[in-house]
Amino acid sequence: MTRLVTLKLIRLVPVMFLVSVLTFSLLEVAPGDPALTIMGDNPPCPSLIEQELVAEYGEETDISLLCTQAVYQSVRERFNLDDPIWERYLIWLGNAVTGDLGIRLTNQSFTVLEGIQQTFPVTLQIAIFSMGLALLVSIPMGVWAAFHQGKGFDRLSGGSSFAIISIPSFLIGLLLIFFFVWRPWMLRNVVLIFAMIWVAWLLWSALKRIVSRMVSGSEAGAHATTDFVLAATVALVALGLFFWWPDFPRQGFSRWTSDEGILENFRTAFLPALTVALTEIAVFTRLLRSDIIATLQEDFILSARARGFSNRRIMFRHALRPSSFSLITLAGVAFGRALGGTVIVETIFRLPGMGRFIVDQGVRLNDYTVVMGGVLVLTTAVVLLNTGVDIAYYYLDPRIRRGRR
Amino acid sequence: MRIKKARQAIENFSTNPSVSTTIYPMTLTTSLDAALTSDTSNNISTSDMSSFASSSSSALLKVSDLHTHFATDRGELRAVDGVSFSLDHGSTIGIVGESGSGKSVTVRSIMNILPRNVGLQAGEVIFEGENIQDLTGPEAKHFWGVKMSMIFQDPMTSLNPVVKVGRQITESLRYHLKMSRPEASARALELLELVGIPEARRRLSEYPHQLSGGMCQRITIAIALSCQPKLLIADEPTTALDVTVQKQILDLLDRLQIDQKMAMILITHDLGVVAGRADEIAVMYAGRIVEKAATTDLFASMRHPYTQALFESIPKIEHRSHTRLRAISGQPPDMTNLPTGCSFSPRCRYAQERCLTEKPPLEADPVNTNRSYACFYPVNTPAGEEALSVNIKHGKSAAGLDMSREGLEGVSLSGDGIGGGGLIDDGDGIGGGGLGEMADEDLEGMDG
Ligand SMILES: Nc1ncnc2c1ncn2[C@@H]1O[C@H](COP(=O)(O)OP(=O)(O)O)[C@@H](O)[C@H]1O
Ligand code: SF4
Ligand SMILES: [Mg+2]
Repeated sequence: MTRLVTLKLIRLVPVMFLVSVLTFSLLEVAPGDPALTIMGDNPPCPSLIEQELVAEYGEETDISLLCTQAVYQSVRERFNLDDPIWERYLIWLGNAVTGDLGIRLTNQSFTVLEGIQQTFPVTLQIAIFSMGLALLVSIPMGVWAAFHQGKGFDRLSGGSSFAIISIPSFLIGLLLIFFFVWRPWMLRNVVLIFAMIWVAWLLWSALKRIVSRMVSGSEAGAHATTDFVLAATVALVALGLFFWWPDFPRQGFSRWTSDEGILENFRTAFLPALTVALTEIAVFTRLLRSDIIATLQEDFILSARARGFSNRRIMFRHALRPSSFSLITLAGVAFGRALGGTVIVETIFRLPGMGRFIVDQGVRLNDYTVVMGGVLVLTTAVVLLNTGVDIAYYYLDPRIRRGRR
Repeated sequence: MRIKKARQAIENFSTNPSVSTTIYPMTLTTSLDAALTSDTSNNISTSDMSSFASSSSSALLKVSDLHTHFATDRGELRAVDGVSFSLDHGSTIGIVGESGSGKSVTVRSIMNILPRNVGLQAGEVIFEGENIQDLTGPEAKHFWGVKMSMIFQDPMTSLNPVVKVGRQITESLRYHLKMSRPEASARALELLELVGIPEARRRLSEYPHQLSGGMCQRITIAIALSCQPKLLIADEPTTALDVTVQKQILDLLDRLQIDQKMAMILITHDLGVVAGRADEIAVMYAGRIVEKAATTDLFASMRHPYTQALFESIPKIEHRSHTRLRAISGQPPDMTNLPTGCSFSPRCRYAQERCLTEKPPLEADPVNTNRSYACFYPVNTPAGEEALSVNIKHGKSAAGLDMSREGLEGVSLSGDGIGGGGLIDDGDGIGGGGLGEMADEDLEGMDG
């Protein structure tokens, strides 16, 4: 284990080198001039420079332009902008490795690192929540759809998946806000009605079982008990939801470290996380479903059936793991996307996340150090994530263990 | 000795089964909630081998008029169309036939592992006097894989690739026999030694891809034997293996069968494989048994033209290995569109007008009632000889089969050496007697 992780981390070195080079070259290829960003729109003319210029050109000359030029030069000198690129890169890299991402060019009393420290946890939490939610919902749905392939649930989930995938995520966010924040009673009633239909159906099939048991004398009675238990659970959950329907804030975010506590944190994170998760749920469910259906065609499933195992056991002990490889890969990719691409969601829900930090504080203001620092942290996170997926793969699929070490 | 037992089996078997076809709804996949709730209490006794001796008078397995039809895009496909046979304790029946003749579907019906698209399932399967469709609850839960178990054609794919070999063996022991972890591990080790796996302890923690095909097949056998079944079904257990390994596996099965006192259904597309091993042979064509006889009787003289064609395609000892053999003439039948009369008629050298309109029933031989066949003009009978000579005279059979070509090919089977014969003479190492050793993968059009 340690050996594997060490090896994978050593492999990261060249990748990270490339990442740092690309990040640094942002500064070079991006339009605009960092020195101008630092100076701002109407830089005041420092008195020292003003005195020098007056001494040289006399009182009558308009020195404002000259002053700006002089300030520009001094900024370029102070930030070593005229040094050779590789020298600046090495210095930047050395600082970045020690955790110093520089100061913000537009707001020089703050460092970039401070900004990231404040915003990254928010983004990370939304990403983790949405991935957890997506996996939690999509795995059972995928299994169920595969198990009842071609039946009602499968077709319903297939249809709605395609619908959800085709809705852009900002629209999903707005729809969720509409239903969860502005029209909660609608959802509340819909959930209750669906639960009631489900309960009725369960009771009906339990009744049928009991009748058939009385007729044929077989041992189907136990099944009826499960139906009753399931019906009672569904009814309780639905009623609980109906009477204590949680209301979600339109926007804003409460950190779990704040005084409001962890519940408030969950409440504010739920809608943004659901917005990100919905699309992934749709994709994951479909992917897992088709992979399971493919796995169920395999010989070893047939031989597991011949060994007399129950369908449930075959599904969860035999079919699920070999069917999860592409899901794991895709979940890794989706996680990376959730980290880097939540700016829309952060904007819709006004979350103090890293996406907004980079866009609002960096890109809009031409604040290069913010963009570079942000991009560097995000890419590092994504690269680490992929390494994690690689390691997970290694444990899930023994067949790759030989070659890929 | 086993042959004697087989004779007994045949006597028990009524050649004209008057069993009424009971159509029952077959639950193909137990519903999820059924699996959730079925009672987990154990009522398996593993040591009731004693019943073997006492109940040998009645058959272990009795299959009557088994039908398994599929609903396909091209119409109804009768994969199994009225198959009946019975099997005594400890004896072996060989089911032989070309690929697609319904061998696998037959035993999968018995094993209750049919795919979802089954259209009709009918017939009776009686195991130890009990109809397997009447099994319910824990009795059903611990029946398949315990009382009867099965091994498959390709051992490399029939083991779970992501689970260690040891756990695959212990899973049955723990699930069906409720053994504790250490008990199961100890038993797994015993089983691996039983099936002749060297360094058994190390193998337990290996994955299937780390083992050779032969090793994997030994493991699937160990798994199949784990609950001491009374019936082992082997569906072409050596077809996917190297020629050199085939005999080892077949011999292992032979030895285990005697050790464990179990009955066996041995499926193959190669008559040679069952020649020295089965007590009785059933030849299948297009979903039906077309000839059934004790092995010795069958090889002494066969009655069905299809059996004869199969026999002619066995590589003989005196042939060089890797000699390509004549395949049976004509195409394998289109199972969704079988001929009106005898299914074999388009390919049959004996076919007469009658064969095109009437389906021959499987009937006992008037002389030797131990054998039965479904043919109007049986081979090695006056009627058959006459039919053949009439067809040769006409130059073609009633179904239009070109007899001149047939005659030529029929003369010499010694292989025209089409297939680069003799390059690798790996037949030598195993060619020590019996036809089975020469099991050849080169049989054109006959691989299962
Ligand atoms: N799931 C299925 N759906 C439709 N047809 C099937 C299915 N399984 C098998 N068959 C058909 O049933 C016939 C018998 O198949 P099988 O028993 O596998 O033959 P074999 O004798 O080679 O084992 C074949 O024609 C095959 O195409
Ligand atoms: S002789 Fe007639 S009945 Fe016999 S196998 Fe040939 S075609 Fe069928
Ligand atoms: Mg087969």
